[in-house]
Amino acid sequence: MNRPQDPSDDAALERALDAALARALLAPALPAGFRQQLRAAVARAGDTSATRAQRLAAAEREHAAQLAELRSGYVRLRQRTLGTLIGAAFAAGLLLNFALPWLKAHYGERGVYALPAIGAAIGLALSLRAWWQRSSFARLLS
Amino acid sequence: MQQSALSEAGQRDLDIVELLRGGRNEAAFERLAERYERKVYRLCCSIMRDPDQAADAAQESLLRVWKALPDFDERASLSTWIYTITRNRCLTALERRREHESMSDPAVEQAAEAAGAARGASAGPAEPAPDQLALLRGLVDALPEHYRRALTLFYYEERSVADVAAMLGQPEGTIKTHLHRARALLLERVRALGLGDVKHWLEESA
Repeated sequence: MNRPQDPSDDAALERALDAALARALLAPALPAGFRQQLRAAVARAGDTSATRAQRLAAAEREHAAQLAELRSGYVRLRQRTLGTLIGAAFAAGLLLNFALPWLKAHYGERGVYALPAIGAAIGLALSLRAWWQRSSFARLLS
Repeated sequence: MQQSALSEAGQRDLDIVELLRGGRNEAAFERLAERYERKVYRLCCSIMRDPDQAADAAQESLLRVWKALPDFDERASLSTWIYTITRNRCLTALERRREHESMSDPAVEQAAEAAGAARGASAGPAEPAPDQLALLRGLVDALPEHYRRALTLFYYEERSVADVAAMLGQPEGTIKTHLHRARALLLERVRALGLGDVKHWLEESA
């Protein structure tokens, strides 16, 4: 014969269970150094806090800046080369204007060809040197 | 009830959300970590069971929160979002762990061993079990998983059903049902151990 359970007994049992569970299931404390480890992990993650779109935009900006720098360098190089060529042509004209009468007076009619011959020899030497360097560099790469 | 709890949590985290809106992610994360690291760790403990693995999972979860912080779109409250990330991280880690473990359930084995020890100890007249709290923990560990998580978190979170519901992503009514059934099952199993007066035994444990 089962004796009907007294509701007050049930309530007391519930209270006893609750107290026992509260003692058995204590909240675990955070491990020592948890925050420091988290900070280190976050630092290691670096700029990954940015979204994929933000990272893509940053990479595109960097690429565009590099391209613009390359272009401006190329334009500067072309302008410098053009300036050098024009300057050299005028300087050569000026030199010839003074040198030819002097050469003619001292070395006769043949003396007129001496200056262009020297210029042509220097130009050829420079050109040959450049070609030689280029070909040896190509050999090194291969 | 859960709606109101969520909106309360949302109000509480307004300062963090404001920092995020201002693009001050680092300050926001620092405050967020301060506010949630314990809760995240306790949630991980309740799911993972193992404190070391729980610490790893909590670290990974918070790191994931940090990485995803710029993508937080305020559709859910910040706490809901953090707990969802944490739960997913823990469940993934559990799946990975199961792949490496045998089919035996250590919690059930532990509880069975503890029960055996308690039976042996109760053979004498009214002697208290050597470690009643350990036995009770073993019995809690052997509960069905959803009951065990709810019950464990309930006591970790100082008996706040609203917090447990938010952390486990379930309605408060469901949590109350789980708690009620978990307690009933526990009492049934304590009685089945044949320890004599259950109330007296529990009072000794407490």
